[in-house]
Amino acid sequence: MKKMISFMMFACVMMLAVSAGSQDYNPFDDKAMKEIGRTTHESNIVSRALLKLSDLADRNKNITPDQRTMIETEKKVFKDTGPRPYPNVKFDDRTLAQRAFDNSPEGKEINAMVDKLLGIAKEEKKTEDTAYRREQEKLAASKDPKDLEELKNNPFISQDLRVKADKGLEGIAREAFLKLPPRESNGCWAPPLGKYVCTYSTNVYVPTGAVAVIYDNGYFSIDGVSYPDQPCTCSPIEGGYEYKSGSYLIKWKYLYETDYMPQSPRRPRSFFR
Amino acid sequence: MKRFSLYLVSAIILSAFLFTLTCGTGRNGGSADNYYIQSGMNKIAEKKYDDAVRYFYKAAEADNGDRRASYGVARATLEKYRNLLAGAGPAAGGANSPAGKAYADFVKLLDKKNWKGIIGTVSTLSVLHGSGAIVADDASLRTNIDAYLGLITSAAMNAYLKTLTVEGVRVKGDVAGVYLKAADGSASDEVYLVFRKGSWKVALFPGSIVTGGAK
Repeated sequence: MKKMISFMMFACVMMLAVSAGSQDYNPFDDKAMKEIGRTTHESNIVSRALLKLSDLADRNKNITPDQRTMIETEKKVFKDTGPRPYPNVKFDDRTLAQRAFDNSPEGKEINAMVDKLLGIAKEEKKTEDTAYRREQEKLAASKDPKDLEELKNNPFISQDLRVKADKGLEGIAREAFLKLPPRESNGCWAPPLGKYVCTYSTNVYVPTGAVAVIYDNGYFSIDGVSYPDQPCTCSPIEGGYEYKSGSYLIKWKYLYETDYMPQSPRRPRSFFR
Repeated sequence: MKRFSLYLVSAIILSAFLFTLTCGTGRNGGSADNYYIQSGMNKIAEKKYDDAVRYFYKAAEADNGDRRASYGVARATLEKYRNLLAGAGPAAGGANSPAGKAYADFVKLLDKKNWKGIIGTVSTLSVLHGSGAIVADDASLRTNIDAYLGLITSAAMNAYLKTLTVEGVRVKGDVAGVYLKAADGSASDEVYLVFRKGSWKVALFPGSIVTGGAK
């Protein structure tokens, strides 16, 4: 009995899940979207528009009976054969009707125009793409980190602009670093949070190539080992900062800056002692 | 009782899995185009219409049959013009302003099915975007152009336009909006024009064909 009940519950939940999942995902929160017609022709935006326009025209009492008949005929042609600017040719076979229309003087004229519009549309698309690219280039040259971030996140930009945006962000961050106000009253500078690589060192414990990370809790690490005391006697130099203490000098080159640098999980120990 | 609970929990887990699976690969296409469609709609909300159009193109690339891409392109185009004209004042002369006259001339060309004239009075890519066309392969673009021309020169459109009068024209820079209304209040519509190469060209016609457009 228990097995029976559980099986039934299982089946019910399954059915609910499948029926809910099979509903159309529709980001267009619009009633009209849900009313899109049943056939392919009717779901076409233009055909749907024609049906809508027919209804709108129908509502108006001023249209003549002749116009109403024409609209009805046209609606039927559209519904039966799909959208096509041929006159109301009464052929059952669409291909035949199409061929007849294509060979008619009007058909030839329309087809020539369609060709022309096709060419123009493609040309205009190219022009628009070029304009879009120019807009993106402007963003890439921007000094606003928001613009650069947005550009980096845009999936449609070319790789060269993405690289440019990356470099731009680096440049802005570096500029911000160089403008950093003194942290201490003695004129010491606090290096911004981020990652640095050692380019010069007279300290045997800090080899060239060592990577330092400044965390947001006052700790820093060198090659993955955390230290509790953040160096404050550093001065900005181009592309980084230098640290002087007693007889030794260490130069750090900036790798990147960030607003958030969580502390390394390693156990901290004092470096300067 | 223990076994019963076990059955119940397994059923719920499996159902959740199936639900996720069916939602993620719904009938409207795979997750790639869903992502692009959603991103496109987000870009419309952010008023970044060019980016939105690009997302919808990408969605169409991922699933050529996804009609939401067409609706998205049309919607982005409509919203772009609405946004460009936000806060614009009425044009001097109203229906007799240069933009109003350009619209009236366009309607006459449609009525006469003057194909050559129509080409010269439209901003091609924009009107096609407004009709949901996507510039991809020649065959589908040709079908879209065919369909659009069929619509704008149809008896229904002709009769519909005759029921409408120009209620007002607004201009801001090189964009103009012509606002239409039926005398009996049964319909209202909007048409957008852009000033290109010394004349006003129809850039979106009519707004009512776009989902969310005037009714």
